[in-house]
Amino acid sequence: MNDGDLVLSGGGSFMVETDTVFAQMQHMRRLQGEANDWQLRLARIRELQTSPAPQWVHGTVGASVMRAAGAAEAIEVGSGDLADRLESAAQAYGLAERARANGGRILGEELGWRLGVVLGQFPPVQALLLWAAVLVASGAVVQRVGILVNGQPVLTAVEEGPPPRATTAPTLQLDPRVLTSTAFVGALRVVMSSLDDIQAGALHMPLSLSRFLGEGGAGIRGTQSAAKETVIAGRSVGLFRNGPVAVTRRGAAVPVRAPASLEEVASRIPKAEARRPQVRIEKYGDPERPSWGVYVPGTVEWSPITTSQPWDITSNLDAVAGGEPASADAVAQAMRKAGIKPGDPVVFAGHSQGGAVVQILAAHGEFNTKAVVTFGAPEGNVPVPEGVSEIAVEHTNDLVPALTGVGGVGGAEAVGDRLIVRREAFHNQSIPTDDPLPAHSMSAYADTARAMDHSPESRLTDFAGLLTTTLGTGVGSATRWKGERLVPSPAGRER
Amino acid sequence: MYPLVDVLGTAPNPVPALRHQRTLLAALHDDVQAAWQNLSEEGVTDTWRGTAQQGYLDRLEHLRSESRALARLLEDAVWEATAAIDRAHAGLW
Repeated sequence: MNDGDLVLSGGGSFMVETDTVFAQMQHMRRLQGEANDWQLRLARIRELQTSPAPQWVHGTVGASVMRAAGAAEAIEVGSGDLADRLESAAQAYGLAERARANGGRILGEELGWRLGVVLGQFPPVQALLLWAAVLVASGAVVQRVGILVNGQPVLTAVEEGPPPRATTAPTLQLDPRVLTSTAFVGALRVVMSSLDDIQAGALHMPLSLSRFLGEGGAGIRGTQSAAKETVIAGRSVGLFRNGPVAVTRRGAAVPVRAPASLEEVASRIPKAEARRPQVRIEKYGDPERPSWGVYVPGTVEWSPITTSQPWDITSNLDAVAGGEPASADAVAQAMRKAGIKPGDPVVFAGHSQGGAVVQILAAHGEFNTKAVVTFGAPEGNVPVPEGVSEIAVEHTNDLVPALTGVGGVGGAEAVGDRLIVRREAFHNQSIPTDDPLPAHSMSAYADTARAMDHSPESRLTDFAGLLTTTLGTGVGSATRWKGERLVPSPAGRER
Repeated sequence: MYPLVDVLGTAPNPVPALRHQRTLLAALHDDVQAAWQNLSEEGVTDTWRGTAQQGYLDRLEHLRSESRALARLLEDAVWEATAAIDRAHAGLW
């Protein structure tokens, strides 16, 4: 198995398989079906025989047809057997992958729970403070990731208004080659999944009950509950405050041709930069029956202090916690203002937080979503609605999706109808050191999208076909939209 | 559905049935030939390593040779149908 290959999971009974193995299996199934059809056709040809079977001696049509039917049957049996073996191999790989992820989670649960037990030895007030410290530390991890993604931390003073005040650059330089390693990302995933177990240990909850309630069991506690607690704890001290958003269109509509590939879709997602409009909306087709492409970027602002930027860490936490992120509200408003009607077919694409946002909007059901593709998105276990095709693309060495823990996209949990495409970015290549998180960059994901475009796997080719069916191949128009959170001022005014 | 010898001892003309048979056999031959050509090793090389890959390639090659053999049998059948038509025209049925 080559780690540079695309690995697909979800969307069916297969947990994990490479696209090439699956494509070969489909090839064999197709041959099996063809060989069956050949036998039926040979039976019809045999019915046209002008002489009865006893006269089918060597050198007659009847004898050749009879031998051909035997050969076709052998091909049907052989190709069917080979397809079965490929299917078994793919399932075995999936089971091994799942067992490895589950093993990591179980170990993490135990270690986290034992750490929690130690925490529980302290008096309640101290234990509470220590738990708050754990949450803050995990928040710091998330913010550190943000600093790495955007290069510079941008802390906007909410109460004082513009201009934004930039803090000093981070003094700790982390090597991108370490951060962009599958082992590091796997470990981070386990750590983030263990936060609830630390709390369970501190509360003297038995390990078995903690496991039952956690992501490996009933799923009641886990990354989502930890995110909720972080939001609640943060809001009690004035952080992570949400608020209404306003959306305005920026610039005139420009002509654009419908995307013909996943790589083109990926390249149209706006860059996550402070002054840029965050939403790109493309309109295609008949004015009476238009179809739409909606593109959403990742997090722009990583400060826990609420600013006017809806694409911030507050929206990230709200998305993971199952809340209503301001960025999702901004996209929905932009879509309504662009003229998207409830019945108009929509294709969504998002990177990072933008991926989580488009999954939420698709699940909400206000719009007629046909297809969703996300790149490097943290997943908050958002369900896939019926009739919607979803693909989540994730690099195994991208630490952003790992922030949702083992139960996230790259985890071992069931992923329902969402097709997961995994790939190790920069496999057998030197990892760029000029980008703090190269495996999370859109350029790396565009490279994977290109590999997906070249894949023979039918679920990927079907998805590409769905894009064309929905958006067409003609010329449309693109508009850009900027969302801003209406942050309350000290005097109670919104600005 | 074999033609019965009538009371005068003559059989119906077999040529239309043989021609239809030949047309169907030729179409089937083309389809089998196309399937054989599609059974290439392209796209397999980097999928697996070691014995698993070799085992798959061996099975694939076996299926290729079986498909090729089927295509040849159908070629023979087409040729034999043509020969039977020629014999029929010569009044040898």
